[in-house]
Amino acid sequence: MRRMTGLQVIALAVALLLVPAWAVAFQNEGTLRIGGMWALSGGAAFFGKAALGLGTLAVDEINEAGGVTVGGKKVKLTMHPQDDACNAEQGLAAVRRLATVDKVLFSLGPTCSSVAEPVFGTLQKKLGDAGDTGLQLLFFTDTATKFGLAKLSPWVFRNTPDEPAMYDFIVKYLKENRPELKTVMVSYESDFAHSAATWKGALEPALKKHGYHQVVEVVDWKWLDTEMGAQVTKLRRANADVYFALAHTTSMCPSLKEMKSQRVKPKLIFGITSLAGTEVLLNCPDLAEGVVSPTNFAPINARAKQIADKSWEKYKADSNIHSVPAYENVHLIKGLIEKAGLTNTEDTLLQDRRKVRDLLAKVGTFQGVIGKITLNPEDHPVKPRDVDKDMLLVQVKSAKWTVFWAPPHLKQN
Amino acid sequence: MDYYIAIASIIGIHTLLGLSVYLVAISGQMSFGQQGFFAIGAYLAGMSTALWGIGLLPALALGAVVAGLMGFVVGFPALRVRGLYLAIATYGFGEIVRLAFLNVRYTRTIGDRVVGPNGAEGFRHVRYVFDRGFTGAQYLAIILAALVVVIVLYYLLERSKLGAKVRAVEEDETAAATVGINVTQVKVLAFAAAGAVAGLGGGLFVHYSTYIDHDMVALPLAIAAVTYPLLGGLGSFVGPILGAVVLVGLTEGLRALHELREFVYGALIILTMIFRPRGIVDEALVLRVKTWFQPRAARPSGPGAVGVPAEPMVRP
Repeated sequence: MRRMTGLQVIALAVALLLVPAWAVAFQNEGTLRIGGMWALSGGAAFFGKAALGLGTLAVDEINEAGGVTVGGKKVKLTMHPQDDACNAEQGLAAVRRLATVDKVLFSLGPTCSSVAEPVFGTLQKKLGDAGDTGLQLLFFTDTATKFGLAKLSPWVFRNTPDEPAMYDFIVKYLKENRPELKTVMVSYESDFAHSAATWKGALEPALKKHGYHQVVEVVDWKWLDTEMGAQVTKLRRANADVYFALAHTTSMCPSLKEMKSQRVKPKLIFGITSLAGTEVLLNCPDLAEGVVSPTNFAPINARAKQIADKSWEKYKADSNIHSVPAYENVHLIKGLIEKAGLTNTEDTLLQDRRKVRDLLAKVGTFQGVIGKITLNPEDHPVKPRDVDKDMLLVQVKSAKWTVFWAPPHLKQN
Repeated sequence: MDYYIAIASIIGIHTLLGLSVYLVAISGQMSFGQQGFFAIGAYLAGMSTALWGIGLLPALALGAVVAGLMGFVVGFPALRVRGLYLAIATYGFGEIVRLAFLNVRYTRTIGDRVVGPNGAEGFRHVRYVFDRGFTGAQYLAIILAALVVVIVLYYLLERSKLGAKVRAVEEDETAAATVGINVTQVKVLAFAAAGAVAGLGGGLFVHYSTYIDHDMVALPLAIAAVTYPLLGGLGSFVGPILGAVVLVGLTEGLRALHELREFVYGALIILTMIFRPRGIVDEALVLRVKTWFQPRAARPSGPGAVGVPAEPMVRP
């Protein structure tokens, strides 16, 4: 037999790898496909894997309870996750894979706002317009937090933090409860869309609006940077009362280490929303002692504690501000699927997606893990298809997140 | 099918980027700054359709021409440095472009959309392709048409006197200058043409993705661009095409392996560099393939003939 050349071997390997698993699903096989695209590798994988774990936990719970009723028949949900590696181009391929190869009803994710921007940009903008060839795939996003992403397409809904409201609350809280803290310094990751947007679109406007604090220094670095000597020196010279570190764990820990070595000690440190998870506690619990972070999730009631324990036990998935929405979204959509009158066939997939989308647009208020969540209608003037939900402030104490502030009605739980 | 069309589109766009690096490389230079030209093409072509209402083809042409002119400008200072220093200098150019776009704010409200480069927020709503009803297959056809034009030009170049001059400069600049080749002209032309090709790729990319920001044209893109010709080979323009097909194909095909993908890439590149230092399609392979198409009588036969390994040198 003739031996294959190296080139032929590579060509064959690439061809084989591109062939998807043979598609069998839908009503006849008793399954209904849902998808998710997250950063399951790379620097943001901690969040992606956590969201996948919580989404899968919800799928498990639904299937263990018998599945979802479609056309009078119980069908099981199957999860089809894709790894976008927090890379825009990989996200653009992954979304098409979910839409046309995996043929999912809807997708969770993505993790990174920088992936969500082009992915949502390629979705249909004019609903039902055959002249708009954008993809018709429903997204119910759990993580990508950058403000305004849901406006990119009517196919996008988000259960993500409202950072402008969160930082507005923090600034107001400081003004009213800690009036002696008057100066502020800020750091953010210039190459991370979420971080840069939190500064430009949430914190800076809040500081300007309340007009109480004086911003004495703003520094930036990249989210995978580990050396921040020069920036921290500037922060040391600024010596402000409050430090807003709008950085993710990857750069937060090294920057806190540098602050410790340069003896920079602000009276209060606030982190970015994404900090409120286990990652920072695993990487630099001592350095993060005392850091306060806004969040929408903390295990403050029995259900939240149970979900956090179960997701960790089953999938080593961290329950946090970004991952718990994946759990909430799957449970919410399960209810909509049963109301929507789906046929769950390959031929009617686009109509089925549209039916669920239209119902989701009318959901209004639903029950989340720690409280009520309101999904804004499509004609909302500021943030259509985004949610309003309770926020808390949590603080690192002895290597654990503890509640720093919570609204009175949540404290009662 | 849409998924495979998407992968083919990405391969087509990345092939243009790889061909851009290849052209600089065969003139004896190594550039880590082609992503800068890609960014110029992307932002300009995107602004042309989304802000100024220009059609797609003139927009792509404008992006390519301006990127080419920038290549011409960059080509002159690039003459003063070589090797690693040139690589760093060109990377510096790429960073300057990236940081410039990080700070450019030039937006207009069109309907309910804020369109245009918006600093760190990026450049949204480049939706010419989707708003005008292009299907994925139709846009892929445009990408492939652009690629074919570039490949035909490369094919003609490699068979022209100018192509021979470019290769001569790569082999030995001093010797090339001695026989009357204008080395400055060759190198600057290579940079300008390569800039235009990368700019064309950028223009096609932004209309495919609808969005671009400074982070998408950073170091990882520079490394990918250089890897395509190095892995695929510098013996022919087929090399960068093969490199892009293999690497983008592996990225997609090995998606389920998550972090292990990086290990596979690394291993593949190391093995290629060990066993085929000039890439898979190196000069020896090109010569061997050429002989297949020659009449048997005209084929080289003896040791040392073109495409035939020389006899081992006997050292005293």
